[in-house]
Amino acid sequence: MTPSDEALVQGFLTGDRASVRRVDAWIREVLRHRRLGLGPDAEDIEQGVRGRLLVAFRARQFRGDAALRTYVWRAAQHAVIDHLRARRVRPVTASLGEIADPPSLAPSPEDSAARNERRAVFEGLLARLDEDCRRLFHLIVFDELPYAEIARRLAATEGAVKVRALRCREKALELYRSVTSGTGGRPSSAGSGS
Amino acid sequence: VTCSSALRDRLTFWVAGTLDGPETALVVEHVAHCADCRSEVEETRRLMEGFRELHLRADEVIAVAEAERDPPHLQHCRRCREEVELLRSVNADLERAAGAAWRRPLPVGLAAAAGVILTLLVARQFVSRPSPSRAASPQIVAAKQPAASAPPKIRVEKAPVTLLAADILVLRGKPSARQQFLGELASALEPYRRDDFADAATRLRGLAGRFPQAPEPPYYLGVSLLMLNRPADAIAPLQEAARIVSPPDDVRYYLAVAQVNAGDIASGVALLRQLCDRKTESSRRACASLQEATGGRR
Repeated sequence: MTPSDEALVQGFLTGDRASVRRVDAWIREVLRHRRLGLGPDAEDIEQGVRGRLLVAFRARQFRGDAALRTYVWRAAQHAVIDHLRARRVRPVTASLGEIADPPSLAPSPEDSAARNERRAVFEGLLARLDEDCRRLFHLIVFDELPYAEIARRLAATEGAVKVRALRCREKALELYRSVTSGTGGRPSSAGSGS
Repeated sequence: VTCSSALRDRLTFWVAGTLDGPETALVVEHVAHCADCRSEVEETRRLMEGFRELHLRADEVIAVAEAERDPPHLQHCRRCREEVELLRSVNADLERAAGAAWRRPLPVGLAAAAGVILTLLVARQFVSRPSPSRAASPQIVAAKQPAASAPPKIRVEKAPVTLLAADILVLRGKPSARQQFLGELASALEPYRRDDFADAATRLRGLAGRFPQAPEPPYYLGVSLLMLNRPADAIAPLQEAARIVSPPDDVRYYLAVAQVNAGDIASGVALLRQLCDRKTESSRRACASLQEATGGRR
């Protein structure tokens, strides 16, 4: 950590006005970016970023691997992504656990390991589906497209897409059951095929 | 599952949240009364949540936005792709703004302080210079070095929109696929035409994944990335466009510019020299860029 960054962090923690102003200015460089279109929400997000930085600085999470300004930019960008995701229309049956994001700037190693394990399971599950089903799930889950748009993209009828979605769901659920059997409905990495 | 309702084929879309209002009402009513479907919906919801975990986390989006290479997930995921591209365009502006701050003219009347400030600025350039990218772009690296060794940078102008390989598509593509491609290409080039290169890059990247045989998406993606001041990222798509079709001078020209601006001066200058020596109508631009890249020394 450079001496100037260290002094700024200390100043920020002790409420030194110049340090706080400098950090705020860096936060705003991200949040006021025209492409983000945050509007009046920017102020709330700014407060959130300040809070996150305070926690991170107190916990000495900023170790000077990057310049402080870069670190602040990343914290602001993290808050922006969280905000944009929260602003999206959520699927009707989404669970609360899926919506919430951890408040820290980076997840703990344990969280990462658990998540990577779950990811491996579902990547493996997708990989075991045939190409048509995999593509269909990409369009449904990742691109979040309605079946009419999927039909247009695949040059198929809407009816055919709905039937294909049903067949693919049945295949995927069969694989999912084989992965989760004996784990109380929670995925285990055994038998993922990945 | 014993339920034989025709509505079962819509459950996937309902769980994904993409069913429209009237159909949602029908499905909700059915599921409320059908135990089979309720159980299937619950399983499908867990399946979808698992698939959604493949989305990049916020910190991963930030890391990918700063990296040169995209993870495979971005090829399939519009949401993560858009987030990454959004941050990349923000980063490009932040880098530009940070660079501009160093060059901002001093107010009149502060001539006496100018020397001191200049000294401090120069000193700070050597001590620490913030960049949103750990793998800093060549321009940022260049800014850290003394001006005398700064690599050349060629000014880039947007490429006009033309079809590079329409003949290949006409000859080889199925009519429906061709029509679909041309429709999607026109849509992807719409932001490019109005100079929204970040949005264009997002769309063109997706199109390049879906139509790997077409050179236009990687070509305009490369040009868009160049316009976003990301020459290092522009090289791969431009090379891809050149690989797909015997490259017209335009593709090779932008590839050369990307190479020079990314710091691979030798490759870029060699290519520009080839283009310049062709003495065609389009070689004039290559000669001018060669001049910029070499400072007149050929």
